[in-house]
Amino acid sequence: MNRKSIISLVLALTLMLVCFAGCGSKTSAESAAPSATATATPAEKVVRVGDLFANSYTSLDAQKESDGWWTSELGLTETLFVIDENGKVQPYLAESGTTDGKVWTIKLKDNVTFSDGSKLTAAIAVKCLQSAAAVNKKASALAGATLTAVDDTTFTIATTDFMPTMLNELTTVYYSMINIDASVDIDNAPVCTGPFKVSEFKSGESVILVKNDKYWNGDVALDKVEGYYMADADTMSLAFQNGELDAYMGPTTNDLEIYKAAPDKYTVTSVPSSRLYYYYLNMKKLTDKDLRAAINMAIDSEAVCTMLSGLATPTVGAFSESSPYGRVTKNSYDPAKAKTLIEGLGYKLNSDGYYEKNGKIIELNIAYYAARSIDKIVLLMQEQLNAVGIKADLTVSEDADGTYIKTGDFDIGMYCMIADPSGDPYYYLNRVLGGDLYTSGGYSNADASALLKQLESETDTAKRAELAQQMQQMIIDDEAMGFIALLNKTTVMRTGVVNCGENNPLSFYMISSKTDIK
Amino acid sequence: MLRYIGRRLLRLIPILLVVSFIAFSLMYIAPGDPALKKLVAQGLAPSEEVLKLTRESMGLDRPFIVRYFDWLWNFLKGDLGVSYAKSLPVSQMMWKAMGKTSVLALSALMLSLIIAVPLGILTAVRRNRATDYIVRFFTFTANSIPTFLIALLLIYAFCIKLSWFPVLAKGSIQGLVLPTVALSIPCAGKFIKQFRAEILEQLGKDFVLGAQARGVKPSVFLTHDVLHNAMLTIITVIGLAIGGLFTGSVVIESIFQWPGVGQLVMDAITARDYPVIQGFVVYIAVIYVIINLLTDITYRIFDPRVKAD
Repeated sequence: MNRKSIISLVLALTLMLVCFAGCGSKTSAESAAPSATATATPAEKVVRVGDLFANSYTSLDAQKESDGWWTSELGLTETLFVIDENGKVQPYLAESGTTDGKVWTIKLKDNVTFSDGSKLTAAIAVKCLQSAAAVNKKASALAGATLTAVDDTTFTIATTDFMPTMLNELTTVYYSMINIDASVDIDNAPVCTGPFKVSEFKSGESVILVKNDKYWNGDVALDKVEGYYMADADTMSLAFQNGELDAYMGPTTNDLEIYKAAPDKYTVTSVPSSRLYYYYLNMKKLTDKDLRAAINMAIDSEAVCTMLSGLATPTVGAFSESSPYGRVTKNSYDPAKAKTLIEGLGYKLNSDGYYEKNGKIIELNIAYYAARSIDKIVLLMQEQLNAVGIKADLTVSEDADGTYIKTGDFDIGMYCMIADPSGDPYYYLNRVLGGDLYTSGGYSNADASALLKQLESETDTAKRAELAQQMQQMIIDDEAMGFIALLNKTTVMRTGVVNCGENNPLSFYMISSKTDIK
Repeated sequence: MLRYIGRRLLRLIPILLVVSFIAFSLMYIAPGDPALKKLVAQGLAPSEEVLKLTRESMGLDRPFIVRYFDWLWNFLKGDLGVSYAKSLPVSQMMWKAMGKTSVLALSALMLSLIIAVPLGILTAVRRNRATDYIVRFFTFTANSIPTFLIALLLIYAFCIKLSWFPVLAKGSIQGLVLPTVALSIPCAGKFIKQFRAEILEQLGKDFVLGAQARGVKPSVFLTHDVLHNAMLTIITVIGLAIGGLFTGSVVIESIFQWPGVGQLVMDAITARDYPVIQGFVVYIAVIYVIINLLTDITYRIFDPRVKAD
């Protein structure tokens, strides 16, 4: 065989390989991939949703890792209790949850069924909750708990230490109800109670859901829901503008301008979520309280939110002011007063415009990570601090949790955390006051710690709110942290698409039986 | 020849050992905690207790050398481990991603060669004429524009404005076109430049003058002699480019939703997913050894004077 023949053969084989692979890909993708022309029959109602984080959802088992976010978002799974639009816990699959101060009694609704028609019984619910606690380390609240089915629709939960926020805990997505015994392939086709059931799942790529004809809670408006992992925010925006997606959450500021400029084509809804932008002040390095106060007064939350073009709402404390535990006060933005405080410490402005004492200027390091627009926020913070005579340097870290949050290597440490995932303030306050991973700013207050201990076991909701507010006020009064803004849950929908959970602050509520496309 | 191939493949063993150990060490030294990364998904902050349990379940509490030899022992049994972030077998994830990347890489390579070989010859033959300047301007532009910009411009033009292709490709043949073009443009730009230089060098040789003097048609001596003599350089350039194409382009794969190796490893690095990163390191080492081997074999096919070492 001569050289020409060898080359020709190799090229021909390569061409065949590509064509074969391409054809194969097309066959497997045809049933899943949307195109600019509709894949649905004219009468079929389909909503296509994109998500930047969906590649981490490698299973449809809501109990595993954070997979429940995606299954809940797409209307596949549901929980015993839910958080409503006002941040309050409401029964959903359960009818009620009561306690005698030691044991919780949960009564299920009598008419709840799974997508295969089987009924949600107390025994199934108990098995599901026990499984979640065993499978998911984050579900540690029920690890070691004793769950007992009393009758067909009632079961009890007894924990080692009484948990006053049990109902809040049961709103968490990894406690979604799955008929484990009926789910032959729980990772790819779990049997759940939601308005949709699985038709096709490509791990880390896409999921196609079809209407659950046996849905227990009324009619389901849509025939199909398609969820797609989008690796790139720009691609998601282009796909949405091209009509290949119908709704998604979390547009960028640039995208928001495009959508708001065309209200006839797009609907944009923003509600403050519980995702908090805040920063730690290093109490070991910034020992002057007046200096910390000056820093806090120099940061203008309104300006930050204006820069983010509606993606965030200013906040006073760690929680929304509309929540029962969000009513706290802090010094308002006041650069003149900030300067007065600094001058009171003996600093004088030098020719470069920075405050200086004993030949040393105030130079602070702001540590941050480039996600969720934090990189933009710190640029503005740097400018605002410069305006009051404080030199601010920026240090970016790819992994905040593994670096400066862990080590405390900052003067100002930026962070963004969901402060209220389940309608109760304990989660966040325990993180920042409980001596755990997220206390690297070095703040400690014996009174606040005592209140935290009290909050751990307090059963009265109003008292819990009061305790939470007192603790937040201590943090604010001690100038230990700066609460900047709450990231909005911004949902963009094509005109005609309605009821995508756009008014609920939590991101895992989106598609429901009422979601519709006209 | 078979002995030569066998000898070359045996070199994989020390290469894999060294490369895997260095990669493992660097990941160990790098800041970041895979357990914490896994738990802070969605912006929820874990408690110390949950973090400790997670680290134990992932084996991260064991000494570095124990973890490395554990990985090595499993690797020798054909098991690349389980992804920290996705809890899926690494080999399964790699195979799936490799398939996608291979299709894209081969398509891009073919298109680049289809563009670059004729244009490389054309610009060399029509040196310093209008054609040469136009093509060289194209190569300059192709090499200068960032790949992500090319990708977004292609989507904007062909998906949004012309509606010829969908934005969401999802592995279809239609979806292969734009990422192939996006990858081919800078690749072809580089190829044209280097092919032109080599062809020009060949055109300056005496045998070309002799062929012209004997009245041999340009199309004949260009394809039979000049191109043939230039093949060693062309093969070298292709060999270098293939390595880059097969290791995946994160940008192209992310923008065009093509779930290949580039995207896989980028996600793994962000998540500190050590087993996947190790798997990728092994994959790259194997790819480059095989490509180098194939390149050397191809040299011998085109020029038997090239001896195997």
